[in-house]
Amino acid sequence: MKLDSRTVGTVQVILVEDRRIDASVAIQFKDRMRELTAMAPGRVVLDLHRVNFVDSSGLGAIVAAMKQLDAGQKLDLAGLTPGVDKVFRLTRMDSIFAIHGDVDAALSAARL
Amino acid sequence: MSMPRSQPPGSDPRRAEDANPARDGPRCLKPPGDLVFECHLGATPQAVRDTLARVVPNLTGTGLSRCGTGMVELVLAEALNNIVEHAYAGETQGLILLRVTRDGHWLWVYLCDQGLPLPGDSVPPPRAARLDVPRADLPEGGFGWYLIHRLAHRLAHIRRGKNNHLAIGLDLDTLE
Repeated sequence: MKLDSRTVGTVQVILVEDRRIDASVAIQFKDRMRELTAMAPGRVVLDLHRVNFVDSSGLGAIVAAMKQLDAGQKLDLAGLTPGVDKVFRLTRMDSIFAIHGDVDAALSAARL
Repeated sequence: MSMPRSQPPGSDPRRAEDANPARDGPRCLKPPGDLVFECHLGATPQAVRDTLARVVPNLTGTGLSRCGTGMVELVLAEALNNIVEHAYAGETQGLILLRVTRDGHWLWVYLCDQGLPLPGDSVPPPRAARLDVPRADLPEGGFGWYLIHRLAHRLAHIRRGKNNHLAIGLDLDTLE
């Protein structure tokens, strides 16, 4: 599970470099996210534009990554591909996360 | 076309003719239409991932859009992961039969395993997760059957002997 983390201003941006977040990598994803976000400044944006498949285990892992943040931290999503977007809408998880078209939009929203 | 008749699971040749999953549920061992894909796979998440990678190229030939193909892949993933995680529950020696057929605008997914029965011997009802709860209480699982119910137009399960049979009918015209 390859995740790339960078900090832009006060926002931590984590790019998922894999094409899939599924049952075979869900635990890895959750653990890597815990490591990467341990020192997050407050807002974390998960860039999913390279991910074309998320199953229910992957969805659960993304929710888990959000739940393991501190109370003062927040996880936003950016760059959902159509299939991934549909999984979030079908399960209504799109109502739990702030979802941005891409990372630029997410960063602009941060400055508002 | 002939089906394998000696390999478990799903090899019972009875009722192999005159099949209609919408009418008969998964008791019919030969879903109608043309065979799109068939294989046996092991009960591990990696085997599921590898199998999906093999199925998807066969789906694009059925005229499905990319989004429709993604939804079929999702249903397959959820159904297979359920078997790996709950029917075989870590017993990685388990085998799963997967068969996909196309009959007009219907895509039939047929699965057979020899793992544990479903609770109550029936498919769990569609139950949306409660999201109006504090962050710490948000669900991290239980989306699988819900997604299958949302995307499938026909769903039937039966336990016969040691075999679980599951048939899922997807209407390709409305799957987008």
